[in-house]
Amino acid sequence: MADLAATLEFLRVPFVETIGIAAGALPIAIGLGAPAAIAIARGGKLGQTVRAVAALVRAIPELVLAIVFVVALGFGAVPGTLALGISGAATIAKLYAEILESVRHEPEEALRASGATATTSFLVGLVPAAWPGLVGFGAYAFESIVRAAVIVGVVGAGGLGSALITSINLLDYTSFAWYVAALVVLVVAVDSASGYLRDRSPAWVALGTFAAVSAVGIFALATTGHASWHDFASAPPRVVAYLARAIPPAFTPSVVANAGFGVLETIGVALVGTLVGTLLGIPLAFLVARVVASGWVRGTGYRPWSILPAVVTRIGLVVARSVPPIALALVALSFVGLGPKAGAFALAIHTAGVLGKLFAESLELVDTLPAEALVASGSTGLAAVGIGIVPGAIAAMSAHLLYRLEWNVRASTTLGIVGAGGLGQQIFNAQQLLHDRELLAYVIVAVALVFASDRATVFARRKLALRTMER
Amino acid sequence: MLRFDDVTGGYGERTAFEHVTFELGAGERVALVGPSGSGKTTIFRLSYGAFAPQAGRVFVGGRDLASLHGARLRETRARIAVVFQAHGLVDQLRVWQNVVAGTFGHRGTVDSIRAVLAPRPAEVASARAALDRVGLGDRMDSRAFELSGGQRQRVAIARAIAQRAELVLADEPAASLDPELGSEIVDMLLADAKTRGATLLCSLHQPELARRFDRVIRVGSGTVAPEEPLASSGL
Repeated sequence: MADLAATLEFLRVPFVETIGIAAGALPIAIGLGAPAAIAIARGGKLGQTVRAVAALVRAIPELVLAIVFVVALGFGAVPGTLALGISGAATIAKLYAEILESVRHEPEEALRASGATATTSFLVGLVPAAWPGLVGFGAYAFESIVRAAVIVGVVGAGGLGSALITSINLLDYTSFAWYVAALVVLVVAVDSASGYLRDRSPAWVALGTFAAVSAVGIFALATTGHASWHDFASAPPRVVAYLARAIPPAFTPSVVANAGFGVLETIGVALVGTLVGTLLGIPLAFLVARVVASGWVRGTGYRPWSILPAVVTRIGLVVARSVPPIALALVALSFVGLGPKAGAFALAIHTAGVLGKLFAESLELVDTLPAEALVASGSTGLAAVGIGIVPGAIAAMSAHLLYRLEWNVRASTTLGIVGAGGLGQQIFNAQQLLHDRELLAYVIVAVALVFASDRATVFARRKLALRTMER
Repeated sequence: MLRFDDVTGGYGERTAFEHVTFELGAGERVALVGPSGSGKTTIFRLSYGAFAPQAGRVFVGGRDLASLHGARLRETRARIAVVFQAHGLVDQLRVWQNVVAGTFGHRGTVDSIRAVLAPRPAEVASARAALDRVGLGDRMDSRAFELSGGQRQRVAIARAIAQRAELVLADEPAASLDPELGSEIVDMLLADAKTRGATLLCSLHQPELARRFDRVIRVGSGTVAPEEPLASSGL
């Protein structure tokens, strides 16, 4: 036991730092995001402006934001915390505004009408109705912040990500494997804990847990000596100073040519990753979907061992989607070499993990009666699933596929940071060479690409929804 | 054609009925009558071997379902067609595709999927013939979800016809329809069974419809009453 503890000692600092980054980012995200959400929900000129800014910030991948902060503030946990805090604030602004807009406004208006102040009416008339949603999405935001915190270090922003990069640069695969394991454990633990908090516990327990985690995390951040109040307080002027150096962005002919190539490669990596991930995910989904796995459709009834492949696959899917694509890309680099192949491999594995789960859920939602009618008349199990169940799941599966394609375009803009192809490569090079104005130009291209892919999938989803409704 | 031999059945730990014995001869048309929750659906699901009985044996065409597996189970099931209260059609597929699906018992996986996606002219023609028999020849190309409840029930019957099923199991086919349509569907099932000489077991909860059958089996309070000839059943 003592030996194991000694082995794991090197994990302690990056592990604690990662939790610190996530916990420190949470109050920033809520502190900035909640007032922004209120402004958006109130509407008016201010609301529209805030909504536009939030949409713009959401289009910046976390790692790109982290690079900008690393350039402005230097290495360490502070840029990571700030990047995730601001990124999280944009997400919370959107989600919280949607909740505030969706609850009934009559109680608030009644209070206003009887002379209560705007603030009192809001706090007493509106917030209680929105409360469960606010806490639930808070948990969700924390989950995404943790997911991002484990990798944000690959650009020098502290935590497990920095440790990953260091170990791979030293060709220390043992440490690398330990870091990946730690990261999977952390992500899975936070996912299950936040899922539990969201669905099964009273709001005050959830809130208390977040407050406690934040406090402990911030304390950890301070005591590991990686961040201080002074660092955070001095950050805004330093970011402004950086922007003064970087504006105007340098769209020189060579930058434009590189960016064009980077955009094509990014889209290519995303498409190949999505395609291969989907092809892997479909059979895995059939393996884990309860309708198929339980055996009734094969006519074998329930047998304890018949669910074994389903259980094993389910665990595999959890691992595949818990390892961030950047970490998968680092693994891939060691056997396929530098370049887009590693990026596509990473996205394919991650996509298979996510789509395997989502496709399985789509299959499970379909009415099983038609398939049972086919089996009762002697159809093979496969034909019963293929003709009796799949047609009912196609619409949901296409929606998941589109969502995933968009996610992959966003992810593939940053995979180049570790050398796995795409626009991230140019961003990383510009950062390393301290070409501030070129860096800003590449960042603008990356944001435009993510924004465009977001619009394109929203459009496609609407078309799809229309078609589904027609049917 | 269908025989229950001292069968006790239910889902998991729950027992729906105990020690039930009855037999349906070839070509017989029998109504199964009883309140909801009396185990009628369990009888149907045991009849096509969705799961095994807790005790006793179920025979289809003289074969004990529990002794059949894989291809031999499919061979027996290919003689059975099921018509559910909720139709059991694939909503997204066209009407003729749902009818073709009735022939899956005579095909392997690849041929099944081929028949639905790229049917031969003869396969489409036989689906059309079956649909003509139930008066839906003009709705061949509609999607299943576009049809009314009564029309969907007729598609399910057409599927049984296309399958040339020897045993038709109809579980409350009239329950979700208005009385007139329900009566029409039951007549259609009876007419089909008579024309093709198929055996029909049909559960109902309207006693007046049960009169049209050769025989009535009553289910209730965990047991099945001995088979009654229609004359003495007091219906």
